[in-house]
Amino acid sequence: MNEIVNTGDYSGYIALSYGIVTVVLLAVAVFSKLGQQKARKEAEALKALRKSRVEDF
Amino acid sequence: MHIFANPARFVRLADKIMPWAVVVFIGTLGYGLYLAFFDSPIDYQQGESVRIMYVHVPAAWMSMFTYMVIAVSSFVALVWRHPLAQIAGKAAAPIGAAFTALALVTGALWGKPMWGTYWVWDGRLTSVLILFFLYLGYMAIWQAMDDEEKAGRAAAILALVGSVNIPIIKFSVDWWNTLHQPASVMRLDGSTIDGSMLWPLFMMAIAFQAYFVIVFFWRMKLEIDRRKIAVLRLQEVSGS
Repeated sequence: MNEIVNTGDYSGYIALSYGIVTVVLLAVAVFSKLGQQKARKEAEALKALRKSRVEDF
Repeated sequence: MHIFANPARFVRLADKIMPWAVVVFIGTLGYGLYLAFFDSPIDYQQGESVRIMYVHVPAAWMSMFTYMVIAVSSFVALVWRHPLAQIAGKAAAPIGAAFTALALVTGALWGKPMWGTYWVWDGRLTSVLILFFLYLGYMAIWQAMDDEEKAGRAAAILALVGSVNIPIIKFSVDWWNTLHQPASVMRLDGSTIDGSMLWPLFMMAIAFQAYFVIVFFWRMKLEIDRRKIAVLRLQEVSGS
């Protein structure tokens, strides 16, 4: 068993690493999901508009 | 494989897989973070900073995995012209760029206390930085051209040419005398990391993989809808 030779305090580096990972992954996920929902709504609205025009005709 | 080239079929399949990916993501992330912070012992040389490895290494693995997804999609798009292959590459690129940026940043935050510097121009770090620029270039090509077919082809060629960088990243620590440590997990003679540190690493790697699946499917569906909108608008204009 190796003896612990490094007992330094790296809490700042650790907190920064996990903080940046959380913010970046959350931002990518939120932008992707919001973009997908917006595109889905727009596609459905255009489809509905097209359908109603065909029915009117 | 051809049966999945149909966007409607793909969306149905993605909707079935998505809940499972979310369960895997939440489960492995929760357990992985518990192991990383409360169960994993401190390393005798790295001390507490070993905990940065539990996000740095999975991010680095995912940066290469995502690029391979783009390279394979690009090959399929160029050779067989599958409609979903181009979309897959475009959808995966921002996720891969984010993973690569995270690998670089968390590596720098680990490097400062361990090596005494945030950055050195050694083989591993430089080849990962090149990977990041490849991602940016790939995304820039998609944005730069109005003709999506042309943009897709140009981006696919860049992705395939850039895939030569993946083995360079992997073997850079063997080919050159680098400051970055050699491979310690994916080795032919087995891992050199103790199980108490390997488990949190694998749990976080599975969580990152599940995250990729979830966000990748969202972005694929976004791109499919975006193309649908473009076709519907074109039909509106042409009055057909």
